[in-house]
Order: sequence, then C-alpha cells, then structure tokens
Amino acid sequence: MKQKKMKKKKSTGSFWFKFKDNKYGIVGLYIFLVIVFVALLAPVLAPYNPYESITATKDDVMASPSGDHWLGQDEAGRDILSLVIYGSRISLVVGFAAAVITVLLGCIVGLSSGYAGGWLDSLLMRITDGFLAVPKIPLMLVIITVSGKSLTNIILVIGLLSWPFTARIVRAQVMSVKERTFVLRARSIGLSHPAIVIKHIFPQVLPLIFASATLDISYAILAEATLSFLGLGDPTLVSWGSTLNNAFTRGAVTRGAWFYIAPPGIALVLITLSLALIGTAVQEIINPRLGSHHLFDERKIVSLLRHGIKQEVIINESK
Amino acid sequence: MKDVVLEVKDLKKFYSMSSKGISFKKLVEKNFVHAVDGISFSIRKGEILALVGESGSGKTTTGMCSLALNPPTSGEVLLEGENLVELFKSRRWREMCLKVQMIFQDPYSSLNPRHKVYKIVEEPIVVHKLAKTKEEKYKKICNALEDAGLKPAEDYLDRYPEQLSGGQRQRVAIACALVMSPLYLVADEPSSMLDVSIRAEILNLLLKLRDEHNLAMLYITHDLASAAYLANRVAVMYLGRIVEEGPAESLFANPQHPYTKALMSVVPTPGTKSKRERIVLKGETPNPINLPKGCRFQPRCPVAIPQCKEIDPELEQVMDGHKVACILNNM
Amino acid sequence: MKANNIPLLQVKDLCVEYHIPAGVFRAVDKLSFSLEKGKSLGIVGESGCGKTTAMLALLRLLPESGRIVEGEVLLEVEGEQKDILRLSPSELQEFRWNKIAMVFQGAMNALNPVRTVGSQIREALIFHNSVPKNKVEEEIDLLLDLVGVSPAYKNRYPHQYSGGMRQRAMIAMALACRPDVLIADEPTTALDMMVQAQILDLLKKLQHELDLAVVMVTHDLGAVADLCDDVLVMYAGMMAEMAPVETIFEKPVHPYTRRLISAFPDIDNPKADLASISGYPPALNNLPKGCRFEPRCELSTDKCILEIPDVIEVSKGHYCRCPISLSDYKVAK
Repeated sequence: MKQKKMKKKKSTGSFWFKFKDNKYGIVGLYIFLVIVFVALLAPVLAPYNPYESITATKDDVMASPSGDHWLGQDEAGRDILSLVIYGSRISLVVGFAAAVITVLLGCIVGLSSGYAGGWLDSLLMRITDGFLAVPKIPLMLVIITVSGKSLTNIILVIGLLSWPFTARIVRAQVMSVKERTFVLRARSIGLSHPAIVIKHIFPQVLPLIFASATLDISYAILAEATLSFLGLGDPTLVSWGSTLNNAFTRGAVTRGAWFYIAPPGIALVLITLSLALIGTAVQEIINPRLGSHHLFDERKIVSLLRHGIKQEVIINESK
Repeated sequence: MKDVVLEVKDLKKFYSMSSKGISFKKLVEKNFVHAVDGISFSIRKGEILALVGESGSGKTTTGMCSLALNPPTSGEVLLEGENLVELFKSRRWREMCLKVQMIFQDPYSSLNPRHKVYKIVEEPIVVHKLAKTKEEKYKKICNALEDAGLKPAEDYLDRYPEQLSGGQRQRVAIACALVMSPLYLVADEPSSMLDVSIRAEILNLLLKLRDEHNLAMLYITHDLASAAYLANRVAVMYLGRIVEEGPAESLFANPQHPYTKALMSVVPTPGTKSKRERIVLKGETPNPINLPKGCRFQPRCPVAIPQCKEIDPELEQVMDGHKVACILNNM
Repeated sequence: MKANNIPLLQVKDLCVEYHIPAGVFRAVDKLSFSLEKGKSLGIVGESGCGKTTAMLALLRLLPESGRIVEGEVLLEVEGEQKDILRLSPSELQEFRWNKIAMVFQGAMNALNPVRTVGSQIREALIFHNSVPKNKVEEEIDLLLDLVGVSPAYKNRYPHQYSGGMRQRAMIAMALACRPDVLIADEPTTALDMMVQAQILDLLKKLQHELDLAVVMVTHDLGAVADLCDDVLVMYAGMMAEMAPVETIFEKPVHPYTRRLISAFPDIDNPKADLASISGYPPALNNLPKGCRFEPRCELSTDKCILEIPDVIEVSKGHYCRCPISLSDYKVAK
C-alpha cells in the first residue's frame, strides 16, 4: 500500500501578517506613530520651548501665523505650534498610563470573575455595575477638585474609573473560552487553575484586550483633554486640553483666532481617529472567519425562497 | 475481583433546575434532572466497555463522572479499589490525573489553537514532571505521537492544530493521554465528528492501544455498529439507567430488552441484504425530569403490559454475563 | 398523460465555482444525473465533495461568491424540458418551491426563531398562492399532519420543537406547494438513531403517497441503502460512480466507493475489518491534473495521474469514472 506524502496545510500566519493587509489599520498606525514620534522628539521638533518664560509685546498677543510662528502666538506670546507639539506628550503619557491601569485592573477583575464564577463573580460584577452606572466625568471633576490638580491624580482618576468596561469584556470572553474543550482537557491533565488561566485562557483573551486597550487609550486622552479644558488639569503642564481652555477663556473666539483653537482640536481628532482605526483593524482580525461549510446563511436562503427576491442570472460561460 | 480497574457503584448525577413561577410550592421543591440515576458497571484491564445510548440517556455524564471530572451526586467510583472522588479532593489529585484520561468528541476544539503540537503533548510531561532532561522529554513526545499513529513524529511537532485534519487532531489528543500512561481511558464519541473514511483509523487505534497497553476503556457512542466493532462488553442506556448489559457477541446476537431490539433494528446498514424488521419507536426520548412511575421505557415500548407502569425493573441476569432490566424477561 | 421518456429532472455537466479572495475553488465539476418521477436518488460523499453546492446550484441559491460556469438543469414541465439555469428571475420564481423544493441541513438554522412554525408555513403558502385564502389554515394543518406533527403545535416556536420535529416542520414547509422534486440535504445528520429512522420512514411514505421524486444528500451510506433507488457517489466535485442501490453495494467498481463501503461498520458482521482511507481530499483551488482520487488510491497507474478518466458505462444504469473493472480487483488480490 503506497504511503503518499500529504502536503502540509499552510498556516494562516501571524497577527501582524494580517494586520499589514488591513487598510484601516495601517493608516491608523501611521498616524499614531507620527504623533508618538512628534511627542518623543518634541524638544527637537518644536521651534520654541513653551515652558521657557518669554517676554512678549502687545503685538505678540494672539498674533496670526507668521514666518516665525507658523501657527501664530497665544495670549502670552508663546508659539502655538510648539504648544501643540509639546501637548502631545501629556496626552500620550496620560493615555498610556491610564490605559495601563485600566487594562490591568480590568484583566484582573475580568479573569477572576469570569473564571471563578459563583459568589466572587456576583460580587465583582455588582461592584462593576456600580461603577458603570455612575457618570464618569462629573465624578472625575469632583475627585480632582478635592484631591488636587496634578498629573498623577488625573492618571489615577481616569484609570480607576475606566476599568469596569474592560472588565466586562474580558469576563465575557473568559466565560466563553472557559467552556471550550481544550480548557476542560487541560483540567483533566492536571493543570492547576492559575496555570489554566495563564496558559490557556489569557492568550485567547489577549487580542480582545488589545482591541479594548486602543479604545481605553483613546478614552483616556479625551478624558484628560476634557478635564484640562474644564480647568482641572495640571496648570504647570502644557496639554491640548489646557491650550483649548486658555483659548476659550482668553477670548480667542471673539478675536477670531482660529489658529489658536483649531490646531489642538485637530490634534485630538487625529489621535482619536488613528486609535479607532487601529482598534477596528484589530477587531476585524480577531473575529472568527467563516469556515467553508458555512458559505451560505440558511435562514437567508429560506427567506429568499419564501419572498422570492429576484436573483440575477448567474451563468457565466468561463473562458 | 482481580484485574478490575474501574468500578462504578450506583452512580447518580442530578442537576437541579431553577423552578419557574412563584408559587410557594415551587420554591420549596426543586426540580431535579435525573441525568444518571443509578448506574453500576466495572471494567477490567484490556477491556473495552461500550456505553450506548441516544441523546438524553446520560452516557456522556456517566463518562465524566467516572473520571470524577464531574463529581457525582451520589454513588462510588473505585479505581483499583480506591475511592476516586475522594482522591480527587485530596492532595493526591494530581497523581490521579495520570491514571485516568479522556478523549473528547470534538477534535476541532479540544486542542488549544495557539499551541504547536510539541507544546500540546509536552504539557502533561511538564505538569507531572515525567521527564528529567530535555532529550528525555523530546523522546517521550515523539514516542507518544508515533504510538498514536503520527509517523514520523518530527513532521508534526511544529504544526498548529489548524494545519491538521480532524483525524490527526484526535491522534494528538490521544498522544497527550498516552504520555501519561493511564490505566483507564474514556473515549467520548471520538470519531463521530470525523469523515466516514477516517473513522475507522481512530477506532482501530483504540483497539491497538487496548491490546498494547492493556488499557481499560469506556467507549461512549450512539452508534451501535461501531460499538459492535470495538467493544468486549456493551451497556445500553436509556434515560439515566442501564437497560441491558452483556458481552458484545451475546448482546448483539440476542438482544433482550425491547429498546435494544428496536435500536438494533434501525441501525443503518451499508447494504441491502439485511432484511431485519424495523421497529421504529414513536416519539423521542423525553426529558429526564418527572419520570413516570414504573419502567421508564414503558411509554414508548411496543410490547409493554399494564404491570410495566407499576414496576421499575432491576437489572437481572438472563444469560452468562448478560443482564436485562425488563419484567418481560423475568417472567 | 402523454407517455414520454423525458426524465423529471435532468442535470447535465454542471460545473460550479466559488470565487473568493483566496482563489477560485471548483466545487462541482461536470456533474450529471437524471431522476424520474417518484424515484429517489442518494448523493453520497464526504465533507467538501461538493454535494451541497450542487444542490444549491440546482435551485440557484448559491452565495454571491458562487458561479455556475457550465451545465444544464432540465426540469420536465408539461411534456417539455425547461432549463432552470437559464430562466429569468421572474420565471424562476414559478419553479422554486412550486416544482422543486429543498430541506436544509440543520433545521434550527433554517427556521426563523422569532416566528411560529405555523406562520412560516402560512407565509410560504400565501406567497406562492398555492391554495385559496380561505383554505390556508386547513392546508397548514394538513401539511403538519402529513409529516407527523400534531397541528396543535403550529402556534409554537422552533425552539419549542424537538430536533426531529423541526426536521419534520422543515419538510412540511418544503411540501407547501406540492413540488415534484424534494431535495433533502443531510436530513438525518445530528439526529438520534431512532429519530433518523423516523425521518427516513417519513420520506419513504411521502415518496409513495405524493409520487415525490427525492434527492437525498448525505454522507451516511446506511440511510441511502434504506431510502434510495439509485446512488451517486461524489468525490472532490466529480461523480465517482452512479448505480442502482443494490448494484452499488453488491458490485461497486470505483476504488473510492469500495473503500467507502468497507469503512462502514456493519452490525450484522461486527468484527469485519474496517477500512479507512489515509490522506485527505485535494484542495479545491489546487486540483490535480488527473484523477482526483489518485493520490489516495492503491491501484493508480501513471495514466491516472495524467488525465481525468472518462465516465464508463459498466452495465445498464451503472456508471463509473474509473477505467478499472471488477476483474481487475480479482487480479490485484
């Protein structure tokens, strides 16, 4: 009996391989990387340092864009372009730091709650529901006002109020992965519960966490911008939110100083957009692909038959 | 009895159902699903017992309980004389995992899709510290894979489950179990999700393992024909009870219980020569809640008599090793 | 009734491809068969052999990526043959469900879960105007009764039905317009053995009572032996062998058919050796030049690798796509 060597089926490739092909993801990633680049090299890229004190003349107050100042000057004569460039640092720092807290807490709660079930799950979920029910921005306002306007406080407040959403997503995924046969098999082999969570459940949850993290970063950046815009940001730091705050409180609108208001706003839009695109790409990749047995949806077909929706003639004589 | 590896005594597994409605009566009495309602059997070394039944018979639940993967509500499970359920609760539970293993029905979800074959088969070795050096580990993995029919093993070590066919995945799962040298193996419909032309591969593999490793095996299936092919002894289940049990030849040559006879008469045969008279029962297996008094099979039984509604028959011996639970046989 | 020799359904050289980003998959290749009124044909094959695709093509229900690239599907209507594949959409509407209907695999997926079963049958009846408005309710009761479901169940939802009952409900829906041909795609898969037997008995009864022509697509050779008059074995999109049911089981010629039959455990002969076929079917976007079964065939020759064999008529009504003959088997032994 001949033994034929059967060819190995091709693997579908790694995550990055698939991400590369996704238009949205790549555009989003480029924009995001540009912003990170700008933030890292701010001292080099910015023409002026907004933290240095400068002497300004009357002409410098909200001066329109000029050769020396491409985006004009603010009410204290500082270069707006530099403000925007430096502002990226705060946004990214807060975005990442708060997201780290959110993801960490969300994972811990979601994994324990989803895997353990029972009373622990009920308890943690009631706490989570409590957090979710509270409107976050007003609560953040109150806490910052009470505890003081510092960068650390902002990061903590945003991180500690955002984890419930991530926790819910993680828990849902854990509960579905937990039922899969390979987890049951791991248990029957003799793995301890922590080992199962780390080796088998967490890797399945990771892509989802990644997708959720992009949203978390995005949310944190906007939350920081909101807080700064409302005057609760760290007054010693330059951020897009605080720049916008200054713009509005110092009357940039009445002065028609569009160059003061637009740039920080556009910057915020760009970063949020880039993160949303990355997040979309990740979600598209992690959605299960349809297998070849399900190349059609039966309900749709039966309804086609009953309603007789016109189908085009589909014979194409092949060459 | 010498040589008995696994013994199950009066195994019961009930699931409580949340009661619907708010009446006080319903709050007080819980409804129980009697998934398994008093099963006893034993399996010797080098013996395959086939547990046959349709959906709702409780066969899968029995299999899981016999491994203590799902703790039984009551009854005993003895592995080489020791109480398995207690052992799993004690500090020796890990040691027990080595002795009892299970092959699951769905090869497409029983392997972690992100682990390569090497990592999958390595897992039990690492958990139980079965190898001292890397070379020893590698050797054990390759041996297990080849034992399970994946030759040469080196070709498969680097692959992900999605690069394997259903049959190959099932073999990897079997290799994983073999690496632990278990005494008792439960195979839960291992080939029902595979294409017909490769089912025989897995069945033949199980036979080979039984012979080479002297395993005691519980083969759970709804397919009578494969049970006939594989098993030394067969137990037919209906609604949580064993209705007939005996050596395979005896049971299939001479089925005694009306349910067994009906099942055998409708087994699809790839040929037209079989002119068995078909006994097609009406209706479907009811839910195992609120079971009727008397024989459970009575509502669908084609030869039931009035006493069947009153008496719940016990398993009684009718021929050598062949037992039936039906009052008609014991008259 | 004109006496004529036109078969009720005749499929000629049907070829179906799927065009998706990963490539072009030829799922069905030159499939041909014919079916007479009141007769049943079993199409047997394993997963991926193209049998379901072929049936969807017959009803022109392929998904967007599917393309029928060649072939004819001729249905006999009042003495003439009409090619379903070349009908306009409005003409097609008259045929689908009225003349040829389908019962899908996995009834749960095909029934709308938020509507009662009765309402779904009603919808089909009303849309196709098969009975006058005042008789619709009666007809629903009749159909349910015909398939063995108590008419009292017509106001229940699919999830309240058991697996077997859902399958019956699907059959009732398919029969709503009293078609001439019923296609059943894996009607017994995922059902308990006893329920499978019930469904097969039901199909047999319907075949006789309604003079229905039935095409049953399945991987279960046993079911085919029970129900069908003729059997067509498919492999990798092509017909491997076609013959009356007794012939297929007693005198199979194609190596694949022979191996497939011996892969089924036989309860009357339980300890007989069970065969298995190593390897797996070819990828449909990378089909071999020659015979598609050749890589797994123990009797292949060089000629098999080079070209796809033609269909040979072994005896009346028995066709095989393999040049081997029964005597070759005796020699090989």
